[in-house]
Amino acid sequence: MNRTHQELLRAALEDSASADGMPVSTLPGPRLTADIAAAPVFAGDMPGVPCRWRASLIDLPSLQPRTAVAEQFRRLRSRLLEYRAQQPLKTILMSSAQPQEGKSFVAANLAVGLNQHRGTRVLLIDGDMRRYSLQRYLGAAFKPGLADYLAGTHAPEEIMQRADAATLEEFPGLAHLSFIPGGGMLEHVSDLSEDAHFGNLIRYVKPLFDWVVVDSSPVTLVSDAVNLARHCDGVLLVVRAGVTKYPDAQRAQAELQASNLIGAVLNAVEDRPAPSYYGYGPAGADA
Amino acid sequence: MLGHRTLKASDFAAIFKRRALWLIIPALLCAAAALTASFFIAPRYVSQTLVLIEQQKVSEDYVKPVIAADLDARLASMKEQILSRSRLQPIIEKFNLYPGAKMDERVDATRKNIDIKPIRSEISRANGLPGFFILFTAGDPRTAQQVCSEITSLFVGEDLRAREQSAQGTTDFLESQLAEAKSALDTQDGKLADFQTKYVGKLPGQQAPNMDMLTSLNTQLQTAAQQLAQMEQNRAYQQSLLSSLQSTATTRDATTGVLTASALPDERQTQLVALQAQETDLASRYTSDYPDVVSLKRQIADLQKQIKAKPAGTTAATGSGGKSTESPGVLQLRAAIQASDTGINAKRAELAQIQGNVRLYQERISSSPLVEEQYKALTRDQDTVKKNYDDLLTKMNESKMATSLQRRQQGEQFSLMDAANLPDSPSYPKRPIFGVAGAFAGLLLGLVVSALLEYRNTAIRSEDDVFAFLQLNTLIAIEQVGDRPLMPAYKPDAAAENKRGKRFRKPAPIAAEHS
Repeated sequence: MNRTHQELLRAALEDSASADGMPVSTLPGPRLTADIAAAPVFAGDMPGVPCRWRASLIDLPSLQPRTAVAEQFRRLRSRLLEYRAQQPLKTILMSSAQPQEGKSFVAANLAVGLNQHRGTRVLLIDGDMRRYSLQRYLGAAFKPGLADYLAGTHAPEEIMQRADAATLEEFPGLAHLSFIPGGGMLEHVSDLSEDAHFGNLIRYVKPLFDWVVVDSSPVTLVSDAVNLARHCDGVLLVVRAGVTKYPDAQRAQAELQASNLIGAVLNAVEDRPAPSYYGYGPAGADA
Repeated sequence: MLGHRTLKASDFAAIFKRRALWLIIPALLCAAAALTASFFIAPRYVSQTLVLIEQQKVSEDYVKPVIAADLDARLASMKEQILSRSRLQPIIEKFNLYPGAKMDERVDATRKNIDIKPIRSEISRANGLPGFFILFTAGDPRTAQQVCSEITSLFVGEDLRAREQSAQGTTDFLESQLAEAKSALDTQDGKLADFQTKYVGKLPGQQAPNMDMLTSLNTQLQTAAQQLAQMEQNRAYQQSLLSSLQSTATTRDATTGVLTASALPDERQTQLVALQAQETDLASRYTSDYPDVVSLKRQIADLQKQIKAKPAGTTAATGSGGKSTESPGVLQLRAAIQASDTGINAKRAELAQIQGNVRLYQERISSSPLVEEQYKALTRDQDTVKKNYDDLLTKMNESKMATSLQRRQQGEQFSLMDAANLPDSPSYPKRPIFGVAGAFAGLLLGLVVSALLEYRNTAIRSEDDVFAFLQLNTLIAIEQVGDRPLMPAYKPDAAAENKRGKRFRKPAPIAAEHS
């Protein structure tokens, strides 16, 4: 980390601490300043530990420039940018009513899509501490992660990953993406999600990134998403077409009533014809 | 989302696309099942004949048909008769229809398999039908044909029999009615004749002649009365002459030689003449029952008695053996007077007769109105009876003509146009129809099942669903990923990647990560 960046980090921490009214030093989780100078985490102005990522193009179609799915995520990116033009929006939580509805998929691809826009720096956090899965999309290591940070064993910069050179050579689209995996299994996950540590982490990383995308647990099953949503600027509700029942979706909406529910992302739509206009589609150009 | 929100056409299209197999498979299965079932169903064959109803050859304006009842009604009646047990049982036994069952059941089954279908044509007469089909359904074609022929024969025969019966029955009935009418007519004629005999001269048609006769009689009466008066005047004159002669003549009694005065004209005689003249005058004006006339007659009769008892010129001194001697003139006068008396009596008799006739005709004329009323009643009854008789006679003749027409085969009759055909294929089951029906039933079943599944499936499928249930805008709709093949340009080269050393190592399962 260069000196300028360190100063900026310190100032951000002081601001967030003063806003909360809680001294940073009393927080057990983040070890923010102790090993900053020692940790080689901000090479190329990008936070995170360089790691070899073996991303899956099947799981991250946003990495492909000319697919319909990538275009959809670019559209989502545009919508979010439009929204941000009117209201503050930096941290986005992904949630859904039930498991296996595509939260992680949407979160990962959204993060990749945001990351590809004009050098936008994006942090992807796997907040589903009961069943983290984002590391599969990036092909990254799952530890250390958020659970370790919340347990107080690791600092944020220690759990943050970024693509190493080899990965960037293969996937240049991951250049401005940092990733905090889920980490190990934790006991009392609900307690941890309610804790202010996550909020501290968000406050810590906000200045460093343009976007923070947080994946979470199904909102109707556990309270993690609701707890995490309190620290986020907006929530996207992922609905899986043909799977999510509307009573569950309505229940999820009710759970997130106190949050800023920006909109819905309809995932896995089967009836939508794959557009071939301008080559966006399986039978489009680049074939 | 069926039943949970208002669906659009695109939603229905998506449902149809989603449940296509639920529609197609049941349709195919049910069609196959129906087709298979059709092979196990006993085939049924239908044989039919066409019977046309030929109109009578002679116009109905000239000869009325024997049977005027509505053809539909007659056909229905014939059908009931032919479908009776007594008619069907011989056919059932002859062709051994529906063996093994009871006769009642066999008869019922036969009835159900017989069908009579009328043909209705727009160009046929308004109150009739041009013909009808007779159909019979059986398990084999030969039996169907034979039974159909048999039933057709029954129909044609029944029609002929009905017509003959009707014609003969009509004629017999009309004959009996005609006989009764004739008897009544004769009776009425007798009554009229008796009445005419009884009231001859008083009948309505005779009033004018009666009036004429009465007028004539009155004229005769008047003439007779005048003649009588004239005759009585003459007699009176003759009597006066005689009296005058007798008054101048001297009469000596031959025995005694006493001169006796001649008899003076008797005043009674003069009075008698006067009375008779009065009577004649009154009789010319009044009837004999008139009181004055009756009084005069009585006076005349009394006077005549007196004169007879004591004639004029007779004296008491006439002794025995006395003898008068009269002149010839007196004798002539006496003779003339006698003749006049005779004439006068005759004339009076004639007058009386005329008066009697006048009274008769007057009585006739006066009683004519009453007689006329009775006569009219009699003639009215007689006219009615005669009219009835004439009508019956006319009908009788028409019936005879119609019967004759029927016997010559020129009346309305059933004509067999098409004989019973031998069916070459079963009418039931029709396998294509079975297949289509089965497919339709399967489709219907599929629709019901699909609808039920759609109703039970409350999963969100589209942006419309998201907005309808969550009132949230859908920022993006991501198509299904995973099974969709990647773009060829971005498909990783597994071989090349493997050279880099486990780059595409399959990620460890989550269970392993969480362990």
